[in-house]
Amino acid sequence: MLEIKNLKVSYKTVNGKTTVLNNFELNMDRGDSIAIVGESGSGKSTLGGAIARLLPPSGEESGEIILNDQNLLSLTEEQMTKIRGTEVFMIFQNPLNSLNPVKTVGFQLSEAAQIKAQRNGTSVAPEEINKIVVDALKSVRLPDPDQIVKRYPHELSGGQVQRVVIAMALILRPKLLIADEPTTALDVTIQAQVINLLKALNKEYGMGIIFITHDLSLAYVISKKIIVMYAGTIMELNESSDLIKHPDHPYTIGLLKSVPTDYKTNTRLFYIKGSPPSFFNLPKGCRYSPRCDKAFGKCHEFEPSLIDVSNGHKVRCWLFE
Amino acid sequence: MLDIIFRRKPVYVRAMDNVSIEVGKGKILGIVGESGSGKTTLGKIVSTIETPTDGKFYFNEEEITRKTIHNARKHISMVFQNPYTSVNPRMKIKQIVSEPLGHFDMEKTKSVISMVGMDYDEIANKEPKELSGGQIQRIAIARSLIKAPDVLVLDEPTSALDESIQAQILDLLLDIQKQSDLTYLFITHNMGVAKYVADDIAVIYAGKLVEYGPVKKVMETPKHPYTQLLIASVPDFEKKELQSPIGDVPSLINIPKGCRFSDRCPRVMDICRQREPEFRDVDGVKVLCWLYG
Repeated sequence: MLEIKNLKVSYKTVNGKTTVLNNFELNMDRGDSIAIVGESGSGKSTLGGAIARLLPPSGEESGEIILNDQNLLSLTEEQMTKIRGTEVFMIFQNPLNSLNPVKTVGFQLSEAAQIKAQRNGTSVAPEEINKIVVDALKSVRLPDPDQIVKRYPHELSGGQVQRVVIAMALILRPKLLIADEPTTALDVTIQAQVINLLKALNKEYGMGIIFITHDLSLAYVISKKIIVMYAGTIMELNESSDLIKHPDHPYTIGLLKSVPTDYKTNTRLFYIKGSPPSFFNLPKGCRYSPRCDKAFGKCHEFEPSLIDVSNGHKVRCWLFE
Repeated sequence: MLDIIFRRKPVYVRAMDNVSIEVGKGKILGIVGESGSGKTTLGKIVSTIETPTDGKFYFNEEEITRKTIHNARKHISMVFQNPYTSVNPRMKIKQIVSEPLGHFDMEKTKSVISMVGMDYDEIANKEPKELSGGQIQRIAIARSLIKAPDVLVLDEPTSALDESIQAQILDLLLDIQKQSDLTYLFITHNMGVAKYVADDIAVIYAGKLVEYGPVKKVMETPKHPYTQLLIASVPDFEKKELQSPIGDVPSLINIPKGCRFSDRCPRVMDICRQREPEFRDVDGVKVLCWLYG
């Protein structure tokens, strides 16, 4: 359904051009859910923006993003607008960014229902639209949908607005949903509600989900596959339970070990030395080599390629050559 | 309603409606709750940034009023969530760290900076913008230590940081606590972090303490339905499914009648909607729930 080949994204800055995403590749079938995990500055949000073609004007993309036999990078902005919503739908960390502050929730959801019908080449009666909207709000378990439709986004809580955005996705039924840290601003109990909703969309309608997060345990809960990113490249890709139980890349191992899961003892938490590199000053060889505790001669000289370890399991590390 | 007593040897925090929380000197109390539960307010009252609307606050058996507030401030400091907004961006690091003293004391500044694992000579003349988030949080911790406090209130000190930096800061805080025999009030929404640092856990919901006890008991056999669901809604590597209570956290302006959790509680009974429960001691844990009589 979605195939990304050789995706490269650079930004023009006052200090020159900097490449924040390099050689990114991805293969996704209908109904897949893939989580993109990385620390801040790993390029994971850039990836989301690149697929939905929502990068800032200074962003430049090259490569191929093929969604249902169509290369998104070759489309004009006008053609892209026709795809957004029904083909690709994006959920942001701050849900208020996705809604119009001066229109009611009901107005915006009705608009989505009309657009869906229009793009399907059908038409819907106004009474029917109201029913679609209320049903969608019910399915995301918002209380009193008849009241919610009259409200403006600022009158709802963060969790409620995020559920309105998901209701919109429910109406539009996109083939691909990109969620960029959609629950970071929410409380854990509300986060659990939103995650369960997204999982239901994925399961019941076969909606493909790309879930961007810095939280490995959240990635594990929501996705079938996990991609670990570091400094703009893929470091490891595997089925989520295999990745959590048998991580291979030293970076993945480090990330997993630094999450506190138990009571304090006299031992210490593991942490990765140093900090992620700046994109202006990337280390020679493997991007992780200066922080890696297993690095050897070659690692500081040449960048490894993404190596196929076993079926569907890829690692960018010289240890697995 | 909000009635807090804070004493030393042992330290007592009496939080909200007739329950005394005993924090022994040199212990860490983890305070967990969702946004709007009042956990930050509690931290601010203990660190004397805010005064309670109603009720009293004692420290070292002395009531803290406007006149005596300075006594408490000598012994209590606070570390905030966002390291960038809690330091003055125009000051040099050495000024930021020594600011609570009111004058510059190189020796003390040097010693607290080395306590947080940084090199004085390297960073003393830098400005906050030259440091990373993790480094600035270390500076904020150094500043909170300069007056040699007994109690540190830590309000989400690692939630703005990446996981590998969080791990370093958590262990640093535990080291400092052990070395100087400090008492911590550790406020967090992250159950994994609370489990790792705390000796005792206090769970707060909509401005009320609902469960309080030793960390192992609260985490392994949570008694209150809210604590149970809170733990079930936290993602971890042991489970693929999350459970959560229905609905939203109530606004404190419009609190439900009876038990505050009653409209979201899966085990709600008639009495829960009518009267507020009182604290019961169940297996060494204090619980505010009608299920326990």
